[in-house]
Amino acid sequence: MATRGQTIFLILLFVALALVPLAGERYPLELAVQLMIFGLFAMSLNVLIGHVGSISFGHAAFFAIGGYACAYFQTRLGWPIFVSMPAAIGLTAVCALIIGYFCVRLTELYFAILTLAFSMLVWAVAFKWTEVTGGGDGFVGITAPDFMSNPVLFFWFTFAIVAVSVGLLWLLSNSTMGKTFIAIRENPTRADFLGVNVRRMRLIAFVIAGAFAGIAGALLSFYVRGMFPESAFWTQSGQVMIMVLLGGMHSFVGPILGAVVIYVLETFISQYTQYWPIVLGTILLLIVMFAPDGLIGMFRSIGRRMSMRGRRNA
Amino acid sequence: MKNWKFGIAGGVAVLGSMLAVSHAFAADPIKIGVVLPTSGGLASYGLTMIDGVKLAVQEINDAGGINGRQLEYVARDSQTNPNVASAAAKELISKEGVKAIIGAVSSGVTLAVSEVAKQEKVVLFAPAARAKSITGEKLHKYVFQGIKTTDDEARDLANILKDQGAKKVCMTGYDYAYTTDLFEAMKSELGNIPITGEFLVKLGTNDFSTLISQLQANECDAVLGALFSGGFVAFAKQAKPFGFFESKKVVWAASVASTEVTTQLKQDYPEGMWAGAFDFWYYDGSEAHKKFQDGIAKIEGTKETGMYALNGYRAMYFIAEAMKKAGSDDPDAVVAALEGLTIETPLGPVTMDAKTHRVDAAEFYGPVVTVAGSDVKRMSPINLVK
Repeated sequence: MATRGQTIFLILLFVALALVPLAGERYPLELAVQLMIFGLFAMSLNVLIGHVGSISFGHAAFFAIGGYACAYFQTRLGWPIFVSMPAAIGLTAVCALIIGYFCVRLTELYFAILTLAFSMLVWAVAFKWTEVTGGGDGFVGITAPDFMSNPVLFFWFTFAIVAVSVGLLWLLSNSTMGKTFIAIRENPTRADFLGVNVRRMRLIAFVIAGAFAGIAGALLSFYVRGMFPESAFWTQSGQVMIMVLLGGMHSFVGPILGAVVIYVLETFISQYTQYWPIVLGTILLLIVMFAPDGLIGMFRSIGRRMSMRGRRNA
Repeated sequence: MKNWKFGIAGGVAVLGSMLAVSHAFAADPIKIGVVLPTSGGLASYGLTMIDGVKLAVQEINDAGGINGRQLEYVARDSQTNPNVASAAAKELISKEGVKAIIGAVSSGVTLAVSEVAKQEKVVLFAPAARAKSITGEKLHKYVFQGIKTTDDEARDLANILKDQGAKKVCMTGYDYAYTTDLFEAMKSELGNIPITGEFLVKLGTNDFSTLISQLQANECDAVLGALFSGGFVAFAKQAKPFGFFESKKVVWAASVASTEVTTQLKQDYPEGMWAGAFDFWYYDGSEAHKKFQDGIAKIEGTKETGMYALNGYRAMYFIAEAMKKAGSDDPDAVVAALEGLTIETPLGPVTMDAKTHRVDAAEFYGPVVTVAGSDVKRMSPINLVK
């Protein structure tokens, strides 16, 4: 559930993002677009991890399905964007429904492993179905609307889609359904006794998470004008998982924060050293050992200590 | 009177600032982007290529730069991931202001960067990706391919197999775009020689016991292999105890005669197996080759240099010569200059075809054998095939 503080943070974040085009420089726009896409991707995974407490190791599958579907509808079928993108999101949701139907029957580690297995199946299809996906070379050269060639217009397009998506996720988080998800996360047995159809609710969360990952994937496909099997690979699922863990999986804005930190660190550290994976591994180690609730949890803890010290001094 | 003085002062200030700007512009280095893997499984390829780029930049700058401007390269790690490479290319273009990029290694990553180059209208010189689709179905004005494509490689390999008297051929490699392209081309190049089996393994596989049994059980008398890098090293070590390399005629694609591979395998390298490479530090070639090898040895701190340095070196020289010829770094002018351009390289003149955007670079083919005084096997005799 999004607290008042997190909602204010979110509003300030989007206000700051809206000011990026005023800088008049190209690169901040590019970086902001990438951060928004991966931020949304991480937030979508948090519907599963943070809300219902189901850890998915295969979330990249929906990221890739959304991207490939959008690329195919747009380029091969020649559909306009206002048809291709909703259709891609719809198809991703259907795929999430099918995959989720099997996955939500299991819990904990078995659920995680099954999601991983399905994502590798999606990767294999993307890799082998050359006629549709372009195979190992990827789906290159997506036909995009003319306005997307303008970096500023593409920024506003991404901003609008991501802002609406985050708004919807915020509504979900604060709705009765969102609270039911948290009840399942905290104690599925008790939620079941209270009359909640736990399996169905977990399936709904799975589909919602998949659909929003599909939106992020579709945006990425437009951004790089292509979609590649690597987007469905387990390493992509691992990366977004680390984003969520770093930011804080039990908070609404944590995943965005995690995505920003990981993406910016990766972009800049890899310019100076080839050992970025070691840095990433160290970050993961530090989170698990010292900040299991991520950056948001760490900030909360610091805030609590400071206020306690303040009270003591008073 | 006052206005007149202000006018003069303003004019001088404007003129001064224009001169300052033009002076700064003249002194600005020309930045060339490099998007290659410097981490992960293909890092050794990328790092060696960057050594070649570095040497070329040093030589060009020592000789006065390009049209009075110094050359500078800005490298980014592609992580062999198309999304990462695309983002890196966009960063180089939008932040660093590069007008030309050298990259990448694998075909999928190169195609991704090529799409960025097409959108952003900057030159992309692909120094090490063989897939024919890069300058085939995905050819556009700004992309150039700096090594032989899978079509050319298939022709060379088919000639070797024919020379060795192959009657039936079976093929193996990774389930990967490069392999499927190569095998497709092999089918037409082999003509009447039947292909009795294609055995593909997942990229990254390290256990080849099943594959070795399948190849040995096949009716073929010759094997064309296309596993590369660490995959070939693992395969060679695992196949040796089975006498695999003695049981059939084996010819290997993917440039596994390179120093990078022979150094890893040492005496485990299959004796007498035919393979290819882009360059050898021990090749007794022209004075230009010796100078190039000395330069790379200085950068790498060893005389046993990697073959990929030549690819980076050649790519940078192609771009630099095109900029010199064009008299500018404007991508459209550079493209026009690159088309049909011939440059001198350590292995002789190389021309960029104006229509296909492919080079006619030579590569080495021959048997890799034990040589006296070294525990690392070498190609002997060396054949430079254009």
